[in-house]
Amino acid sequence: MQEIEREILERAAAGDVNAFEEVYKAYSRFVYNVALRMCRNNEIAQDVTQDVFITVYDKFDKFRFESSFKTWVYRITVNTSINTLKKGSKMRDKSVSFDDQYDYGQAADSMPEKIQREEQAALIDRLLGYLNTDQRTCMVLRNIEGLSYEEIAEALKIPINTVRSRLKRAREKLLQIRNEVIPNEV
Amino acid sequence: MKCEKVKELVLTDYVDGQLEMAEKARLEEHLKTCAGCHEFAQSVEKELVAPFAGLERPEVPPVVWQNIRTAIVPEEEPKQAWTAVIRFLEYLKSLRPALLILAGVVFVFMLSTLFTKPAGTPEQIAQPPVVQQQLAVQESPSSTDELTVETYLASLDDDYDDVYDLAENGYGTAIEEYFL
Repeated sequence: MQEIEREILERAAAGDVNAFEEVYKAYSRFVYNVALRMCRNNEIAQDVTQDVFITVYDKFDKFRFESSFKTWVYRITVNTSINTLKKGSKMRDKSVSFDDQYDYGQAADSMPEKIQREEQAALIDRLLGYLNTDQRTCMVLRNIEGLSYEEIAEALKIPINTVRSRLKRAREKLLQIRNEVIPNEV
Repeated sequence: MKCEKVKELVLTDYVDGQLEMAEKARLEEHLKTCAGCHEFAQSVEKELVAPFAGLERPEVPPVVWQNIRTAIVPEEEPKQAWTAVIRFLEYLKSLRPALLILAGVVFVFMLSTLFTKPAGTPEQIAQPPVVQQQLAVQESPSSTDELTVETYLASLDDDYDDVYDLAENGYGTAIEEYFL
């Protein structure tokens, strides 16, 4: 994800809705996908995305341009997702089969490709479901969104070695599950 | 490099591309010679890296932006109004020299109004016009008042004469003519 131009950010901070829409276009996919993998529910991911951008809009005047805007958005996204996860009950009430939540398919795709994509998404969702919130956050930011260790550490305000150890434990757990549980399920 | 350290790096920095070239070369050298670590690395690649590779990231449904826009646009108006006030003040600031000249002209005009001598006698100047009019009324004899009373009494007599004439001569209606 690229850093957006400072001039657009300044206009958005001054209340220009068109400039804010540019910011939304640049970052919304990241925010939505992180929320989707963290909360594992499409409807809640949409709510989180809305909350994140309303927070960004409300607090824009407090952003000093001393740090990366991207990192600021990462942090708000992760915090909002974790807070939503903590609420818990809402998520259980809205629990829906992952496969039924969104249509990955495009008109041009053949059925086998679509099935393969849906199976892959469902597998990732199941794997992430075995992890605790800290481990899942690191896995989503690293494996799905491709953030570096340094970017994850900045977003979560933790040392890089903590990022490394969370990823290590998460992967050890997933490896064990893949070797023991998943083969029996499929 | 020990196997424990190699496995730790394989699970983290190696699969994430965070290793420096020299360290990566050393690790790969170990994988060539150690069957256990080689198998472990292959397992990690197959079970943990491949499933995430090429995972589709869905687009955000358009309704999300519509909801955000609805939430933020009402707040946009006061912000723009406030911006407009600030712009107006800045505009006035840019006009400062012209405003100073205008203020000077107004001040000179006010001073000239204060020191200009007004027309009329000192008594007329001392008294406001309304008071002067009242004084004039009090000083002059009220001949008009007497005329007014006489005229009024005369008009009463005229009215009485009219009533008397009507009673005597009738109103000239058909029914009146019948009885008379």
